[in-house]
Amino acid sequence: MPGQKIPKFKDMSITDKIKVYNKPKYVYIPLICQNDTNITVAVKKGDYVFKGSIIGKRKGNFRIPIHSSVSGTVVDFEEKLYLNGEKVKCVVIENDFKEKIEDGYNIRKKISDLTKEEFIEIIKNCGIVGLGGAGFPTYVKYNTNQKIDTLIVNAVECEPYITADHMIIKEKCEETLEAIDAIMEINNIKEGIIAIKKGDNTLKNIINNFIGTYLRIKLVEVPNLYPMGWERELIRRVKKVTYNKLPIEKGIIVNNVSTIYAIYEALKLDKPLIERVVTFTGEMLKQPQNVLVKIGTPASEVIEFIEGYKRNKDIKFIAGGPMMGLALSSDDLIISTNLNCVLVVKDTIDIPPIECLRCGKCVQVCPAKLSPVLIKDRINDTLRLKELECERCVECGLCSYICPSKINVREYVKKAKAHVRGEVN
Amino acid sequence: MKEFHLHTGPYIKDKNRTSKMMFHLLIALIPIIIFSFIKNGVIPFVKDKTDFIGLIYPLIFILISCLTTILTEILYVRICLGKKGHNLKTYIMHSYSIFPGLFLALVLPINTPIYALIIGGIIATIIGKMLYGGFGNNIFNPALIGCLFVMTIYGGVISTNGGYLNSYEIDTISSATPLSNVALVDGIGTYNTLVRPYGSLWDFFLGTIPGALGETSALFCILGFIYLTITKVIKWKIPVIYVATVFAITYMIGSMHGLGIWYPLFQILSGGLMFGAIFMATDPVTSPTTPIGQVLYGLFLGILTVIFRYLTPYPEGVLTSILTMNMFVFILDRIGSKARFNFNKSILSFFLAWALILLIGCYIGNTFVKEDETDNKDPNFEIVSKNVVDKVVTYTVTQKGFSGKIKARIVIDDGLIKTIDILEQNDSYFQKIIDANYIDKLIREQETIEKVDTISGVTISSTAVKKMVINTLADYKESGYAE
Amino acid sequence: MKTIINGIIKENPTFVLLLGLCPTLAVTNKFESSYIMGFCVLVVLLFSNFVISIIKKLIPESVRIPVYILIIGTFVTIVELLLKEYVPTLHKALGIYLPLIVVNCIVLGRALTVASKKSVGQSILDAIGIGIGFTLALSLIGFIREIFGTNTITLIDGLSEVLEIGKLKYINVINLPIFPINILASPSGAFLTLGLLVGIFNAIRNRKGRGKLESN
Repeated sequence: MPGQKIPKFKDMSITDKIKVYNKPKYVYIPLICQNDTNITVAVKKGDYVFKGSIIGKRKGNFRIPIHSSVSGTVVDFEEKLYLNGEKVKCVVIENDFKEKIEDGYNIRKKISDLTKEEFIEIIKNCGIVGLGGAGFPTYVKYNTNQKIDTLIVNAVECEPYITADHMIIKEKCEETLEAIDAIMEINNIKEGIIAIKKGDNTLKNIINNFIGTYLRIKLVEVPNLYPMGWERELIRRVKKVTYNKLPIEKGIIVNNVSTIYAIYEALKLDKPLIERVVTFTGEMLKQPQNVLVKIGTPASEVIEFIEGYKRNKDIKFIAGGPMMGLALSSDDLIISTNLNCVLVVKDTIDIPPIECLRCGKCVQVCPAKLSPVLIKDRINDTLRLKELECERCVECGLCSYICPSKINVREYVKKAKAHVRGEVN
Repeated sequence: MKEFHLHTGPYIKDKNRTSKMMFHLLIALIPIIIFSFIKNGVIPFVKDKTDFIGLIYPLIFILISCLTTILTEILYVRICLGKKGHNLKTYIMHSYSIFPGLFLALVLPINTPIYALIIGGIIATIIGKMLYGGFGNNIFNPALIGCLFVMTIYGGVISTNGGYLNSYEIDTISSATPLSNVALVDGIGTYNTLVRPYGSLWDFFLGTIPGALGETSALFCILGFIYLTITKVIKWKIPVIYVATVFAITYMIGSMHGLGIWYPLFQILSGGLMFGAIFMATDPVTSPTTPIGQVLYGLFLGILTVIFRYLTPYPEGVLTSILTMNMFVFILDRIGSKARFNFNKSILSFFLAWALILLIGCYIGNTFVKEDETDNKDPNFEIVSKNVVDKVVTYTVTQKGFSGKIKARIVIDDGLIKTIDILEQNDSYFQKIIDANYIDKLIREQETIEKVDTISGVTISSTAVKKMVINTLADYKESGYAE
Repeated sequence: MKTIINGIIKENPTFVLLLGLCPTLAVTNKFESSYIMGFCVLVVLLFSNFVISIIKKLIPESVRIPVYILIIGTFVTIVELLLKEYVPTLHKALGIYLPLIVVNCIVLGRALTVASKKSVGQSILDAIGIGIGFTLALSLIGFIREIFGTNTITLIDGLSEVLEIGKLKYINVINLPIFPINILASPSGAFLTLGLLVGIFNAIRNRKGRGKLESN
């Protein structure tokens, strides 16, 4: 069975409340959406912007706007470190700490009264993207003529150390459920499922407390394996169907629970996506916890805010979770919408890899049903690589995790994917 | 702003390592080694069949084999690959060269001379492993390559030394291992002929039957298998499917001959099948990596083993089938990796494969009739009557000619044909035979009658006449009238 | 001179070019047959290369191969008849592999690649080199197979009739318990020996080549 039980390390970052850090001096809003830097900039140096004003819009098919997370003056355009390890152009805004909103929030009483077109318009204009890590514009998922039968809310959070979704449900359970119910009402969805890991009893109790009022939403527990939070695997486990390219083929939509909360704020208050909960955790932080930060805040400031590192040398600074994240060379990272965790751990010396044993464990655990060991053997043969369908890889990292010879198999598969794509181009 | 090191890849790793897996494998082999020590060393010593050297001989055997492979690998790496010093040490630690030697000692007969064992170890390391690129790159199981060479080159020496039987068994059990015994019994065998000489099936399960050092005890092999499956070290699909296939086919064969369930149990408990399936076939480097590939591997191994055991006189069925399938592992992996994406199609192929297995079982069951000493009786020849007066026998015989039977009367006196009279025949061109004085020629040249040419134009009829005379003569000789 | 060395080492027909493996595997079970076969191939190669390189301009392109085979066949027949007359035991020992020299890839291959393209002198030198290389290779294989396979070695047996010296036979050459290795006397042993020798030869050749590169 694909999937593997891996150690969780979640307890260290679960606290009673989410801390709030909303006083950055400067914010650096990254002009990038889903690795696409083709953004039209709507402001220039010296402009005054309100909290929530549009400072850029994505070109191309998904014209999603990017908002400012503070009110203040546009100072400059700089290149700052993004979570994929590269420098990305950012709009630098100097915070005037006044939190001025242009038109003020108008609170809607009943959010389920909206029509589908209004719904899509609102979440598009509020710039809602997937907060689970992929950053896909959410409105595109709903902007379809096909019948949507099921809405699955992904609260599994299978990657170790990360507890952002857990804390959102803990604090904002009622709001989340209200949002799910509204979405179902607006889009005529029959069935709503919240998926959580088996064995997470606190969460189960919290949700069960409130879920009674919503008859069409039910709670489903999935096994505590990694990567159960992957869309394809989750749908296969919960609904027992497989799809070809997109889940909407089978009438299913999957949204991360943090995204649902962002949709709630958008529907209720017309509030755009300007802040998110990020888990700052790891053995080398003095006080690991979840923090609500504004988009564009430098991570180093937040870490200082939560009392900083335990030591300054021999530590690894990772943007993202331990399996799919990337270690960066400096902590000058900018919080963006798709960053859900900042992980600081001990820098251990990697065990050098030895000869491949051909034990077949990587083949056994791959959730995409690939054969990584065979891909590694034929790394230079593009014909065979196409046969082995290495484009299916989601880079979950289980193959490298489980390899007894400590070979970094995932790198080979990534290289193979680049080979095949290079051939196609 | 701080500066950190850059790394890629997952930042948490599983705790298991290759060295731990190999350690588990070693632990699983220890009960087998202890059992073979008791069976081949302690028991003969206790029964006063051997001296102190004989007592610890099994352990010495294993030790020499392991040392040979380790030393050979160190020497090869030092001389041919040129690694020196620290480089050499890291290489040897990750090369696990003890395992070919260990398995080789457990698979060879105990009466293998020491020099043959050492040569086998050298060949296993060099030809079986190093020439392909060292650990992780070999295609064939190195221990089996060594075993194959030793059995082929020194097979004669080993059997004169006593073969698989240790010093205690040579006196009590005079014949050979259970599988060699199968070749000696008539037909398909019964419980009394196949199992009883060695005790009962429980002896087969425990392992107190003659065989190689590690191969006999199914009980300890299964214990090792359970341990290794729990610690997730071996590919468990292969032995399960291998043994199940052999069981299924031999059950089919047995039931076609009316034998009970003891027959398939006998087959899977003898011939070192358990040891071969659990430890040799699951060698991680030489077996498929994809789950479906592993299932196919076990399937074909089972089919091949049964074919080798029943349809060929070759004694080492398990060894040959594993080495043969090692060649096809890359094809099985290709099938396995593609079939993962389309699982439903592969289920259909799986059922087809099982149908194939059962068909093979039926076929072998039907055709496996052991006839002892079938005299090649010519079906076209028939003796109508025989008249014996002392040494003079008058035969009236018929032989199938071209378009009917040729009837003749042949008189043989004291081993020599005196007269041949053709009584009846229906062939159109028979006159040619008479015109060519063929009958007289046959009588004249009866000493070398096989070399007499047939007559062109009446080939079939003249051949029939010749055969008739030969068959009659043969019958005369067999019946012993000439003595 | 360089051409001759080339034929022995860099382009050794058995160990490098892997040509003419049929007689290699078949006649090498005895040492004497192997060097006699090598010698016959050398003679045939020499004469056929000589003749073909002389008349190469006269042969039209379309009938090249049949004409070469004709020439080679002539010389093989001459050699065969000579052997049959003077050393009949050897002729019987080599059996069918003597006429098969006609289609031996070495002879035809060298005729096509060297004799039809290069000068007469070059062709002769090449023939000598390849022939010597083939003889040496075959002798080595035959020597190993006979000594390790049967524990005896016969240096001169059938030839003794021609050369008027006695037979040179040695028995029980190696008396260690690990020999004789009977498998070497059978065809599978031929494959094994050939395979191992090809591997060792090429390994040494590559090492030497690498050494030369590094020393430059």
